[in-house]
Amino acid sequence: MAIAAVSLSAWFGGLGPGIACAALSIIGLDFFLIAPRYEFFSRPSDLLLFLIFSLLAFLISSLTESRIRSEIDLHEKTVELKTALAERIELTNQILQDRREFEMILNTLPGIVYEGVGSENAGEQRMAFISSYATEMLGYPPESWYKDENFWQKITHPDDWEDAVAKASLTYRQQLKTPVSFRCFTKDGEVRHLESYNGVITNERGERLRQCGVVMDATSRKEAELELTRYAEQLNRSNEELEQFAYVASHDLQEPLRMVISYLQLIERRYKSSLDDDGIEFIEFAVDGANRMKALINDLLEYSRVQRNHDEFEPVALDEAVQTVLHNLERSIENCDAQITYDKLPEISGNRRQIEQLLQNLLSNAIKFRGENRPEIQISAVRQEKSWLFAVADNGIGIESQYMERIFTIFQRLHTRDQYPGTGIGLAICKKIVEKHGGAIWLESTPGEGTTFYFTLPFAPGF
Amino acid sequence: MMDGVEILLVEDNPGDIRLTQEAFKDSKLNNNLSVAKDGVEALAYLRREAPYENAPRPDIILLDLNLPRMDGRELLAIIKEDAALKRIPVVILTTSDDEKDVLATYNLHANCYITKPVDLYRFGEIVKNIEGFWLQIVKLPPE
Repeated sequence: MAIAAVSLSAWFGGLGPGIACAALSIIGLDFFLIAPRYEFFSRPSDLLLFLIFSLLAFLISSLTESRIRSEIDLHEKTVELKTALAERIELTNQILQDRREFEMILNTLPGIVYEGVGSENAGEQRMAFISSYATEMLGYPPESWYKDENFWQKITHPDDWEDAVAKASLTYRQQLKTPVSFRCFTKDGEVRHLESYNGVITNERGERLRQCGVVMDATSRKEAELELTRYAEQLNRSNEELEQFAYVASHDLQEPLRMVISYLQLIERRYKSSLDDDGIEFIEFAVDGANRMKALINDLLEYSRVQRNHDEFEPVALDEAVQTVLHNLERSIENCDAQITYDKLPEISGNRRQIEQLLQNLLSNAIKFRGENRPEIQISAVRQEKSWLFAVADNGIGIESQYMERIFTIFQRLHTRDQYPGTGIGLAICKKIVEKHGGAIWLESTPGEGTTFYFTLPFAPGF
Repeated sequence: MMDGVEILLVEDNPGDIRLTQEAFKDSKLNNNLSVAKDGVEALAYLRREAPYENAPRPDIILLDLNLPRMDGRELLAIIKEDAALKRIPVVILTTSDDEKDVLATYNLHANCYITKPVDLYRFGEIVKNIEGFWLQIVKLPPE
């Protein structure tokens, strides 16, 4: 009975209560139930019984203690496990959701996103992922790649396969960023120019795990490039032909002109005595017309030469150019006592002869179209952000604003030949020269007061 | 020099030929102007090949550049490489004033380059100048 009491106490309470119950049992038994009272261990057999009883009690208590401990541990561990499992499930769901979202994003890219595994040789990789844009771009769903390891090879143009594989494998091994171009056939049998931008997936240690990338459709871009090149070539050829035409035409027109002028003059000389005044006047008109035609042809030749000239640009010192031009125009400058001044002028990059021609045309115009006062002409230069801005200002007759565009057109004149000589090509040549140098030319003018021509020229290299 | 100067004009344009003849007619010098219409004829004349077996050796050659069959530049190159002919002064007389032509012909050892003027009177002056310089002032090689 005492053992039962101890067992029960131990079962429910553990070591402490078990021992307490044992102690109580001993005391109680001895005190209340077994005579003589207060005398513990009266007989030796009592002591033995007492010891056995104590041991038993202790054993039972400690065994059940550990059982209770284990139960508590188990319970705690179970709770821990359940929590961990729940967290893991949550995490996995999160990862799956992230991956889904990621794939959705990849599927919206206007290119075929791919993941290739299993080999450093791009041609032997298996596609672990193909984004759904494949259907739109080429007409094949991603499954086509999942089902067939050689699908890329099947749809790539045979001429391009080896080269593309070699390049893609190279970019994988060396982690380069250069795109790889190749042609593919769509489901409908059309050819597309593709460009794949390849990357590498590595682990935290930087070791290559898989190849990845995106394949873009460059067909329209490539076609546009081809079209542009063809068009540019056409334009170039057309330009060259035109230049050639202008040159040949003017060149070949010279000779018959010489015949006309020379023989009219020969007639005049040889048969002067037989001709009356009218006759002589007729011949003079004819010769005059032919001479003008020659001037026109010369100017056309000059104009076409500006464009035909492909000499390289060199540094040109503008003050030297101005001095050359002043020397060329010496006679006409003296004739009208023109005063020409110029600031310190810079060096620019260009064609020396053409720059001199430009300046000469502008200056001779300024002299030709002078007013009643003594011609005063100033040449100045202002440094701008990307170029020099030059100005040639005169105090001549000026130009009305409605004609300012027209005067740069070939052979356009604002006066009759009796008023001012010239074919009207000077400014057209100026414009061509300035434009050839990458600049622009324009003017400001007040009729009756003067005109200023402005033009820009690029800096000398290394400026 | 023998009396009378021998001039070979290589020119295909009859108008130009006549003009040149007229201009030389006005000359004070005793001269004989022969004409070849293209490079092939000119070469036959210079080498005294048929039908020019009896052709005199020119003291000076006036050469146009744009000729049919064999053009002036080709003929110039051949003359200046021919040991027997290269000492004869060659005056280029042509319509072109293109720098490229000037450069090319001087490179081929033309003696000088003249652009034919449009004006008759100027042409006459030029011919006078040619005579005055090449046929009077200048000492020509003996053969």
